[in-house]
Amino acid sequence: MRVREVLALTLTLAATVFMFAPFFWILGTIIYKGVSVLAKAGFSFLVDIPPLPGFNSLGGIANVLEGSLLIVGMAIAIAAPTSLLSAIYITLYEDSPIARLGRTLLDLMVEFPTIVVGISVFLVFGLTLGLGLNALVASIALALIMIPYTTIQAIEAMRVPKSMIYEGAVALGLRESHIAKILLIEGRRGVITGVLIGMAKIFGETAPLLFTTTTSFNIFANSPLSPVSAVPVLIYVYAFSPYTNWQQVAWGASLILSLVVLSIYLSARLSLGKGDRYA
Amino acid sequence: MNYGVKKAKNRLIPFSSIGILIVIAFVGTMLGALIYYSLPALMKEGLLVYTTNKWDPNTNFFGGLAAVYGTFVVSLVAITIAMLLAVGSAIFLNEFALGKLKEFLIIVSDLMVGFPTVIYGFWGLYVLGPTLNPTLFTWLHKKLGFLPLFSTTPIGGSYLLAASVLAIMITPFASSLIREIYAQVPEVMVEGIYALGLTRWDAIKIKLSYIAKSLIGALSLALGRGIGETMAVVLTIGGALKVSTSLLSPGITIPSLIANQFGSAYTQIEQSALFSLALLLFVTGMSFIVIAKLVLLRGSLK
Repeated sequence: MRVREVLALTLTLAATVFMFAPFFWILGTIIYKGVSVLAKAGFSFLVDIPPLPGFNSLGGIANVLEGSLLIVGMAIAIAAPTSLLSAIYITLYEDSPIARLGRTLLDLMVEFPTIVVGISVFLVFGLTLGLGLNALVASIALALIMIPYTTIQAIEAMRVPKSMIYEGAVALGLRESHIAKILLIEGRRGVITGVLIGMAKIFGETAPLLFTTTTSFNIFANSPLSPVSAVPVLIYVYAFSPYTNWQQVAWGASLILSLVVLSIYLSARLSLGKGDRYA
Repeated sequence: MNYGVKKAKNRLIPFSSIGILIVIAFVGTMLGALIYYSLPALMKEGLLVYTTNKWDPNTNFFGGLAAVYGTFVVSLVAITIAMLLAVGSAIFLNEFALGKLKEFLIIVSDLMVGFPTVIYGFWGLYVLGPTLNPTLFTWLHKKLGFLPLFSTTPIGGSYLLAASVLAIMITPFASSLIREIYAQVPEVMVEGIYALGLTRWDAIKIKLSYIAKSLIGALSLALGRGIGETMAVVLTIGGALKVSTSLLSPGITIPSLIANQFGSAYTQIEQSALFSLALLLFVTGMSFIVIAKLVLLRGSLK
């Protein structure tokens, strides 16, 4: 019988190694290739625009980084208030038909293929409303991807405070806005975590941007309605290109994107207490 | 729970409902638009848009069978690999891993779920592919090449390479689901198992059969998530518009066809054909998700 115990341990340990090893391999690759590119390009990697294809120069990703920050920032500006309001409503009126429909929809939205979200946003805003490819349309697509994560996390965060204070608050005759304020203050850690997770998620999101951003990587977006390009799309296009210097820029950009995403995730992790889990 | 006070407040739709109402309206409009723009191709070609293997701008006929087939093959292979790894690692984390190690691995697993998918694809194209093609994949072709499954020489992207990268990406998600389901086996039962003098091997077997139904739910959820994955697959699938029985051959999936063709689709029918494929992808993916949620709701997960 002892043999079987060892066998179970060996098999499950092997599965665990095969599950985690590729990720460390990926991180190792990105650090190895990315650091050498960054060392070669120097500080200009953050302030220059991407190089011409096929030349020896590396340039930088300043404008693409600016584009990413712009659309992610705008997406947060759209998604955060919408999510908080939705979460408050669903928490306070959990038995109402709108809240139930909303909750079910949010659970499904988390699983929407992001490419379909991108296409649909392009069809409605880019094509039908004639907005074309611009930062606003891209940020709407990202906001729709972020909203379910942030809202569900906020609902979870407010559940315990609600069960503790709701009856008392109603008995005191507090207005809805007061109750909402208390719930937000009590559940703030979870709410912030939700926003951070959503932010990390959309920072690395690529598929919806294929339909809403431009692949001219040498422009700076100067208004919310101007065309914009983003870091993940640059990685995709440059990775596929036959030019060595573009591929190198893609490795450098991957390192920067990984650092941004991983540090947002780790701060989300820290903002939660020990033992808490996020979805 | 309904209190008199709350009922009185419910008479008017409260201000805070505006957030979720906007979300509902947006999603409704978007799906309406997707269906509307899919109609030209669906009306002109009917279901042939899904069942014909021909993408021909000259005759203005577009059938995405290669992509439908590729999506099916890649998802199936990926979910098979992912489930083996996910079940194994979930058992390891619940039964054998201790305190700090378990905590660390769970954090890494969560990071893997959220890591940008385009980087998985980039790595798959430049590192995993060139590593597996001359080694494991060539070996498969040489030893098992008489099977249609491995009948082509591995060069560049392939169904199997895309499925491998996809499996790496969805395993952590499937694993965390299974970990939670596994941990919900009632304590009384576990005590009973050991009280009978059974070994850990028996305990694992009994627990797995106890959660079998929820495992199907987890599988379906991971499948629903994997089927729509775009970036990792488009970089590693090879982008060939063909139907091949060989897993080592390049192919295409629905998301990668859309990503490849969208920029160069000029006629209304070609665009519409892409949208109708996206619609099929959405409906299929969501079916898996809904089935998963129903199974999981009825199973051991709350």
